[in-house]
Amino acid sequence: MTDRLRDGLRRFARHRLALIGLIILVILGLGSGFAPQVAPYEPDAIDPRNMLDGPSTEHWLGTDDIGRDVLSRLLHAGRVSLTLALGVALLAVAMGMILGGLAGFFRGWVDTVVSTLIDTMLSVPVLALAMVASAFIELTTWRLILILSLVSWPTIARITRGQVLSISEWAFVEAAEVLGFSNGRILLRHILPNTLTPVIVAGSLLVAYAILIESALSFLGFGLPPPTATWGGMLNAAQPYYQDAPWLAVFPGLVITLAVASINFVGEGLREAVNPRSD
Amino acid sequence: MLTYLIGRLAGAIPRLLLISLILFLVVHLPSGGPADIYAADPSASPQDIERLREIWGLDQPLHVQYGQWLGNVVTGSWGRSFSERRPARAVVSERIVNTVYLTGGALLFALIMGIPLGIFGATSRSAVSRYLFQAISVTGISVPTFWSGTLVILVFSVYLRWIPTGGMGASGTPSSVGDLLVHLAAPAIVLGSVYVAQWSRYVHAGLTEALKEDYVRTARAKGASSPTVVLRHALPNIAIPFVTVLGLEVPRMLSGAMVTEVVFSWPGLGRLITDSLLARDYPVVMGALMVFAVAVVLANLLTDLLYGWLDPRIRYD
Repeated sequence: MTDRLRDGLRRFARHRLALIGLIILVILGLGSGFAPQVAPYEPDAIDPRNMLDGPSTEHWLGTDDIGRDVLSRLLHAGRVSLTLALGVALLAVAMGMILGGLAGFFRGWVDTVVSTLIDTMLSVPVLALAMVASAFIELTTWRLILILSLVSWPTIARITRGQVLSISEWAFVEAAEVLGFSNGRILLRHILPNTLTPVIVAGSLLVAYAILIESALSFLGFGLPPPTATWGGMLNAAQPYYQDAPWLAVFPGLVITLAVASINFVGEGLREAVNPRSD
Repeated sequence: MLTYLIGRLAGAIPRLLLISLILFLVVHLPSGGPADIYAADPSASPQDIERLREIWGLDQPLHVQYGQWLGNVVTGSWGRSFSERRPARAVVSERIVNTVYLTGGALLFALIMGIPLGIFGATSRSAVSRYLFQAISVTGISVPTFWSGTLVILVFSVYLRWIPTGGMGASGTPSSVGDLLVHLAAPAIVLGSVYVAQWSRYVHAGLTEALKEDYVRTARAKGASSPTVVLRHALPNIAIPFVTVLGLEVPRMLSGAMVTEVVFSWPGLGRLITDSLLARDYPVVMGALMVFAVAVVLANLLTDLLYGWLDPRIRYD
């Protein structure tokens, strides 16, 4: 096991883009996590003398329409955006593994119900569904996490279900049945751990997707209400100032892209690490 | 073949019903209905609001409302739009073609750029170009369209003034095919570029595997030139998995189109949904979302039919 782990880590490290992605992610994560300590200004501190100022030594990434420091706001917004994305991925993976696991293990009517639900959910655009739900509900961070996980669990469930279906045919499952283990124990201890590899890869990509969906929602005006700053929300607020203050639109988008690309690179590295392609 | 088609379409009906039920509940369950928007207006008395709710049927129990909505779908009016005085179907259907233009243009751009890029990625041997391919393609799927669209507008219409900032034509509606194309180019390229990255990755991955197959070695051994081997022998063999992912990608593409339409003020279904959500125009929201769902069902069907065309061994009976 440790050998496999070491091999995996080596393959991951050999994937240079994945390594770069990981470094960027760590920087973004630390910057956001310690935003109160590292941000040069308070996120809501207003500087009336410097409104809509371009990048300067005083304000590295400029200021917004009421003189708030863009860098400080980006760091604080990162806390919300990253926590939200991680929360969505974890909850969606949990829901997807439970439902997909049950469907694949018990088959029969359970499978019919879950599979119908998966197919149904997958044929509505995720963004539209999330938008409709957020439009009619008073949003809080936790509610948004719940909404976004409710629309994204089907991909995980589909992968888990397929894995469980095929793993159930293996001899070790039969052995566990012969030993008289309960269904719950067989599913939890013997089958589900073996489905983790593809689920972890898909889950890591889900973090990236959650960041994109959250910022798209905020951009369209259906995200978390102010004063909570998120990356997408900052981009949305920049719209009236395209001409006068383009940095307001450029930097939040750049951070979103950087975060999403890094996660995707890491996901790619993970895929390579757990599932080496013979070259 | 015809029985297959009919069977598939009939099989989609339960799924569409389930979708409509889910959407209906998500739209109607939360408090704060369309009438509440007018409640903010001081000239509207509580009696007026109550009357609006009656006219719109919002005072009925939910299952009755759902039944009425279903009835309206069957009779073809899809209910009356709350904000425009005409059937929701009229409001929704005039937008469909605009979204088709946009997604069609994006699809075309993505195929024209993505397939060659994937071939390049799979056939180039130097490490530098392989890294370059990977860096470009992963960055491509990571750039949010609302940001890349914003940048395109900033650079090409605000500063350079090469392209219009949005809309479908110089006077709102396109006056000619040329006018339409000028307005379509930027949004279609922005939406399509995501799929250039995505699909080039699929082509790359599939082709890399296919080029290791025995039939490729055979083709090379008999002296076929490199382009012939790639284009005539390897590429057709990855067509089916490629079409599969293309079909699965349709819902995501519609999500992307919604955002792109808002960025470029493109009067399609996505913008209609955004606007109608803000106006709480339930019948229009439901209608537009159901069009999306039907589009996905049709896309899945089309994918299955393409299999048969790509691989004659597949039969539909």
